[in-house]
Amino acid sequence: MDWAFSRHPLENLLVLSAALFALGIFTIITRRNAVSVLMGVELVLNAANVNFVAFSQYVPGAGIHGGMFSIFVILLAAAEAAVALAIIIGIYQNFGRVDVDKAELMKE
Amino acid sequence: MATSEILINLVYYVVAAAALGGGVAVAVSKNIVRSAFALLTVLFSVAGVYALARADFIVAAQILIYVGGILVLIIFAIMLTHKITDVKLSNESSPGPVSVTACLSVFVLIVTAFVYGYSWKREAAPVRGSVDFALEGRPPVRADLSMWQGGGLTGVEFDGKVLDGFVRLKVKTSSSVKETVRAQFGLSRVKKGGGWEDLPPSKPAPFATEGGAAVAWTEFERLEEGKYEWKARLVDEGVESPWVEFAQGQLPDFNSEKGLTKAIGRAFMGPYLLAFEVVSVLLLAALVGAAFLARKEVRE
Repeated sequence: MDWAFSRHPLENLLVLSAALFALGIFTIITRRNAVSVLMGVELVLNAANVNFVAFSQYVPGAGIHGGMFSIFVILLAAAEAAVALAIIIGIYQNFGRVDVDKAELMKE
Repeated sequence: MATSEILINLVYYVVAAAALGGGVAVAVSKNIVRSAFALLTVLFSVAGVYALARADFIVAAQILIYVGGILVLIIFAIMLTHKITDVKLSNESSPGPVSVTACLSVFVLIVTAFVYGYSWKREAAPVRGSVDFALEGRPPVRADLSMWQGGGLTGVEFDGKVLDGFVRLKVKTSSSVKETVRAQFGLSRVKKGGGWEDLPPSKPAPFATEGGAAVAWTEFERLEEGKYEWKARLVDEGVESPWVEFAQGQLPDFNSEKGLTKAIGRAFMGPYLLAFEVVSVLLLAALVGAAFLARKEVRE
């Protein structure tokens, strides 16, 4: 069977996005540094975006709605990164390090 | 495969490999600064993937916001939370067999269940169903005619049919046909002064079997603005069936409306206006909240 991108663009993009998603999940569940966890979240968001663009561009009649959603995802990722930066700096000021396993004040 | 097609495949695989390699480096690199710069590779490569999918505006948004904004924020977060004079910028991770297995199974599950377990709709519904092509002295060949955008560029809808400057025409017969039978596609266009003008038809395309049916298709690229009529006929060793008309449709001027930018601008000011405004308020609230969270606490 022919797996070339030009013949089967949708499947190629979906496989790429699935791989990025799995790598992002792996980063999120194995990293202990909060900034690294944030990077994993960005990988997952990018994987979702690739899916949106792929369906928007390669499913006939889909229109531009997938593209619109990917732009909203990018915007929300920007807001999320700004808030996450603030929270990480707050954790650093209170604990002296940014280990997500050590920030467990709410357990007590 | 044409040279341009090979080139596109090559570029895609290079870009996809860069994205995956960067993703692996983000996941396993021992140095957090290396992870951040691997994320830069991933974001640029994903922008390249969007470019290959002809989503031009999203490429620009990806590079401006992700690379220019989010990545800079992440590097800020790294620099502010580590003593940069440390030689070893720790990036602890605790990968175990459980997490590796979980992620691999997520990947395999997505690929098998959603990518190959479901056949995504890749073509539009037939514009004309059950048309008979009459070849001399033979039973007529019954076929469905469909027409859709070929190259993935999001088309503009006219009369419920999606058209664009890159039109793909397809004949799908309900039974198999003889090997020597070819399908030929033609088109005619309305002249400036009125009346129809025939453009050169395509080369006769051979049929390929596709689950009991036979399919032949062709593409017309870079069509100019104007009103077109699409048609097809079967050809077999000097015998030709009469032309059968698909449909008529208006093609817009694709030289001025290339890409997504104009359509996205219209959508932002139209159906997505409320969402657009809500997102702008949310961004403002997030930035104010972030500034509030990150400020030094004032002790009285």
